[in-house]
Amino acid sequence: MVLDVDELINKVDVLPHNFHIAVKAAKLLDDFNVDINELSQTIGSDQALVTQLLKLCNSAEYGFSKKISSVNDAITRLGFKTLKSLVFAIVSKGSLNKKLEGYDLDKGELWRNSLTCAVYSKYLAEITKYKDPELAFTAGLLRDIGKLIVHQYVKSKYKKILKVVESEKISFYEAESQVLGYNHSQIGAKIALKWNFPKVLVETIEFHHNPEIAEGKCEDIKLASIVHVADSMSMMLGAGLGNDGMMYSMNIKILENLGLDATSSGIENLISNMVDLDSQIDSLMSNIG
Amino acid sequence: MEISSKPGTVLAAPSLGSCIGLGIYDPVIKLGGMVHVVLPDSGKIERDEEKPGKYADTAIPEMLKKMISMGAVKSRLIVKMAGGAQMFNIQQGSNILNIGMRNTIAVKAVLSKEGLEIKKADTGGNKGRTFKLDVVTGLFSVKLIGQEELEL
Ligand SMILES: [Fe+2]
Repeated sequence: MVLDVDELINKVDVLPHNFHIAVKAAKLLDDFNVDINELSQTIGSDQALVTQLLKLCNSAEYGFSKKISSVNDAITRLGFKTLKSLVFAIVSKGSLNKKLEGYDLDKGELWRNSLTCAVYSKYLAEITKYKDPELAFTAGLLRDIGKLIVHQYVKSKYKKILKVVESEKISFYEAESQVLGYNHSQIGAKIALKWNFPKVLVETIEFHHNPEIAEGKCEDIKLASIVHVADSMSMMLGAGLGNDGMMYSMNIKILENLGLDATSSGIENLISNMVDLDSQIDSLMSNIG
Repeated sequence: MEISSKPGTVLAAPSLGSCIGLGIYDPVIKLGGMVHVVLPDSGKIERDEEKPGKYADTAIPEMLKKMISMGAVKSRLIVKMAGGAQMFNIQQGSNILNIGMRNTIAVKAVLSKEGLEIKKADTGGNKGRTFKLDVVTGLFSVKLIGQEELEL
């Protein structure tokens, strides 16, 4: 039963309610002349989101000595970029904190894996002097949303996909394409488009496994490259790993393009630093309720 | 790193990708230790390291020292390991990203330096694992993602 991509996307639910707010807030925040009142009303229209946001920005992670007590307060003290990434993180939990049988991910595993990729993306953005580390966080967080749809089709064809991975020595997502006719990054991009995500997110979702072919199709190749490396690292270090596990390839060239040390000791240093970010991931896990 | 002889304790190294779970057990005093090795060699790391538990060359001797101070005897120890999966990386045909393999080699080298033999190991492949040790029964088990838990 192979569905064509359009058919598949038609079956995707309309945007989960609070994603509307995140997308709208993101659009407002991207506008240089953002109207703070409109922004705070947009966020304030969802009380659960407000509660979450205040809890998160008052957690030790952000280290404000004076308590943030309102949305307006959060806007001025966190800054637009951080605010945007926190709003996306909060609304994403409803979608990403799900059991995905096809990838053998228990409830919570995709969520942890996504937060890990988000934190690693932000870290990589910082050390490679990427212009917007908070955007990298969001792109890393959402890169695998396609799995939410593709998993049910992967489930019925898992053995076949695995066979293709092994016989043709290709990565899991390439085998998804071969067997299903599409892969989770393509589908993810289509969902992101349907849900009106900012273009830059649509593109990084689409190319998170192969930024090397993104030239001309993706405006921000550096961001796609950052997410690619963060994705590979989060798989390698095992956080919320599914049955597609480490059957992805990381392109050394991408590391080099980012100006990272791609020797074996360079990579070991990078991993050592990334593992130390675990406490940040734990704190996000416990502070996004 | 976790060491325990408390009845009912199952030591676990969950979500092992390229990392290695190394379990050591003294059946006489029913003392178990489990360490989660992330990287082979602390010597390659450029900054002061506050977590010796991450590296094969520092974590394993430290756990052994602690276990021996708690009454374990080297000649009685049962040692098993799991993990060390490889990032699928045919494209470049390079070993730079084979942290799993480097970890496996490093753990073996450190153990042999300590005069210990690995009784059983389940390493390599490209899937994640969870490794456990029950300190009462001394049973080791491995679960590959997507498969049943098996005794090691
Ligand atoms: Fe992916």
